[in-house]
Amino acid sequence: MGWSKIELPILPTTVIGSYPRPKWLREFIKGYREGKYKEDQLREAFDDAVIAVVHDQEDAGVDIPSDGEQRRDEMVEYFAERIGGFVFYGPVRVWGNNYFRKPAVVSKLKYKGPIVINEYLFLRKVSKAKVVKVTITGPYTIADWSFNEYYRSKDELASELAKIINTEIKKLEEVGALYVQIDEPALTTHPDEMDWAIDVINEVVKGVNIKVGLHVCYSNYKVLKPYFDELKVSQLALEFANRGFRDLNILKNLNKELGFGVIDVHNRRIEDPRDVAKAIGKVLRYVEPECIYINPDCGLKLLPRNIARRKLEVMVQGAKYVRERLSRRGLTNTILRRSAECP
Amino acid sequence: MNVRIVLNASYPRTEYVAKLYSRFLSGKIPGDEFEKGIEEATINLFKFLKEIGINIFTDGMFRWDDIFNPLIKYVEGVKINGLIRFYDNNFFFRAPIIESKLKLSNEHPFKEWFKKSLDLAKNVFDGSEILLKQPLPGPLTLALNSINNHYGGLDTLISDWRSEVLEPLIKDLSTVGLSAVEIHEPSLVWKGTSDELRKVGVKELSYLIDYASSIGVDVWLLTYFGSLRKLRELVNEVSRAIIGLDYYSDERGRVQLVIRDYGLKRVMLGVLNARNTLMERPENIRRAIFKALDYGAKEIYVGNNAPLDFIPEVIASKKLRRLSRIVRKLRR
Repeated sequence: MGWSKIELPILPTTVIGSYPRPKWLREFIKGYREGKYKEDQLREAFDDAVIAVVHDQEDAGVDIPSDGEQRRDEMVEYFAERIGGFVFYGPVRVWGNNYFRKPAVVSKLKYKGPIVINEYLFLRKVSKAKVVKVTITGPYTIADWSFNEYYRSKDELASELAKIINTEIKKLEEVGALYVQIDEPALTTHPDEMDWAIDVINEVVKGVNIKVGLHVCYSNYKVLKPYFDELKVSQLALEFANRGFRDLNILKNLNKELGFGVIDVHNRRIEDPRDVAKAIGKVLRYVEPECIYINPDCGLKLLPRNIARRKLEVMVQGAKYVRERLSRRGLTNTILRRSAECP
Repeated sequence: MNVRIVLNASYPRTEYVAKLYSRFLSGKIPGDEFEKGIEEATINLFKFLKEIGINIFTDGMFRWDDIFNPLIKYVEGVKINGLIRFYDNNFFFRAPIIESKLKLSNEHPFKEWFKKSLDLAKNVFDGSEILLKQPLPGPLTLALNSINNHYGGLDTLISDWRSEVLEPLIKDLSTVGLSAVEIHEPSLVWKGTSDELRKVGVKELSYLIDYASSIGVDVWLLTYFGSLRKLRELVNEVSRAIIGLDYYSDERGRVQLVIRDYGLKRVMLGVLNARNTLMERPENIRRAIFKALDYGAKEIYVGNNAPLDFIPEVIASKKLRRLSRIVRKLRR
C-alpha cells in the first residue's frame, strides 16, 4: 500500500504493545518449560494466541492493533536473546519478589538476523486492520537495563545497539511494515545522559522511511520536553492517565504527533468513556486533532485479559464521542505520517 | 595487615528463596514451611561466608524487599504507596506515605528475626568470632524517600524517623545481642540532595551514633550512589562511625581522598561493585587498600559498595569469593 493512500479515522486508536497472554498460553509455556511440548508446538500456540488477542483488539474497535507481544516474556530479555554479545547470568530483582533476567554484554554486539520480522509478517497476515504496529525496545533502555562488561561507556554500548535496531527497522520496511514504535521507558532516568541518549534514538531512525513513534512512560516529561524538536521520530506516545492528566502543559508547542495515554494500565478500575472524552478534550487545547492518536498509557499485559479488553472498548468509545464533535467541524480523517513534524 | 572482608546489606535471594516467597505469598505453603525455608537459606548463606572466610556480615536480608520494606509496615503513621524508583536503578520499592506522627509499632518482628539469625550464625560458626550487623535505612534516606502528608517540614520528619523509629528499634535489637547496626544513607551523597539537607541529615546521624554508642551498638554508616566527598568537612561529625565509601561513585579512587582530607580512621571500602557483573581487578582492590592505609586509616574493611540485589546471586557469590581470595593473599 502506497503512503499517499493511507488514511485513518481522526484520532486513530491504537495500543502501546503488550496485551495479557491468554491463560491457556501461560499454562502451555509452563508445560513447554517442563519439557511436555516441542518447539513447533509452542510456536503454534504463540500464533494462536496472537490471533486471539488481535481479535480482542479489533473487536474492541482499535484501529491499529499489535500482536500483543505474545511471544515476549520481557521487553529487554527478548531482544538481548536475539542479539549476539549478550549472556544471562541469572535473575535480578526489580521489586519485591519480582525478577527479570538482566542481560550482560560480554563481547562486541552483533546483528544475528531478523528479530521481529516474523512477528510482523504473522501479525500482518492475521489482522484486518489497514495498519498494524510493531514495537521494539529502544537502545537506551536495553543499555540501561543491561550490565556492560565490554564497552568503554554506556554511550558506546547504546550507539552499537542503535545501529542494530536501525538494521532491523530497515528490514521491517523492506517487508512492508508501516509503523514501528521504539519503547524507551528508561529514557529520562539519568537526566545527565539525555544529550547522547537523544542522538542514539535519532541513530535508530536514520535512513528509515516508515512511521516511527517513541513511547516513554512513567517518566519525568520535564526532562524530555527540551528535546521534543531534536527527536527525529514522528510521534511521542506518552502516559497521562496514571498522572491524572497533569503535566499536559508540557505539550505546548509540541511539533509532532502525540500518542495520548488515556487508560491507566496499573489500575483494574474500568474508566468511564465520558472521562476519556473529557481528557481528549483537554489535550486538544495543546495539540491539533489531526496530530493525536489515542492509546492506553502503556502495555496492558499486567491486567486480567477481560479487563484489558473492556478498557480498550472504553478507550474506543471515548474517542468516538470526540470524533462526533470533530466531524461537525469537517474533521473525519487523518493520514499516516512519517515526518517528524505535525501538522 | 588488619583488613577484614565484610558482607554488607542484602545478598540476592536465590531462585529457591524467590520461589519460596511466591508460593508463600500466593498461599500455596503455610507460614511455618516458609519460615523453615528462610532458615535454611540463611544457614546456607552463613555456611558460604564461613567457607570463604567472612565473619562480619548481615543475614542477607532475605525477609526484606528493599531497605525500607518491611520496616515501614511496622511504623504507625505510615501508609504504603505504589512503586517508586530506587535512585537511578531499575529497581523499585514501595514508598512510605506519612499520614500522622511516626512511631515504631510495639508489634514489630525485627527482634525475633535478629535473634533467630544470630543463633543460626553462632551455630554455623561454631563458637568462632562473628559480627552480625542489622541493616536499616538512615533518617535522611527515609525522609527523602517518603511522601510527606503530615509534617510541616523535612527537618522534623528526618528527626522523627531517627528518634521515633530508628533509635527505639536499635534499642530493642540491642536487647537480643545487636552490637553493630548498618545505617544506609545513599541520600546523604546523592546528587539530588541539597547541601542544606545533607547538613540536617548529618546532624541527625550524629545524634543516632551517640545514642547507639550509649547502648553499646557500633554504627556502620554506608553511603553509596554518590561520592562521600560531597559531605566535605561535615564528615567529621560522623567519623566516629565506620564510614562506608562507594568506590565506584567517583573518578577512580578519588572518593578515598576523603580519608586523607578529613583524617578518617574507620572505613569500609566498597570495592565490590554491586551494580555490575564485571569482576573487580585485583590490582584495583589492592590499590584501594594501600591508599586507605597511606591516607591514615587504621581500621579497614572491604566489601560490597551497595546492596547486592542489583546483580544475580551467582555473580554475587563469585565476587565475594574472589574478594576474599584477593584480601587473604594480601594479608600474607
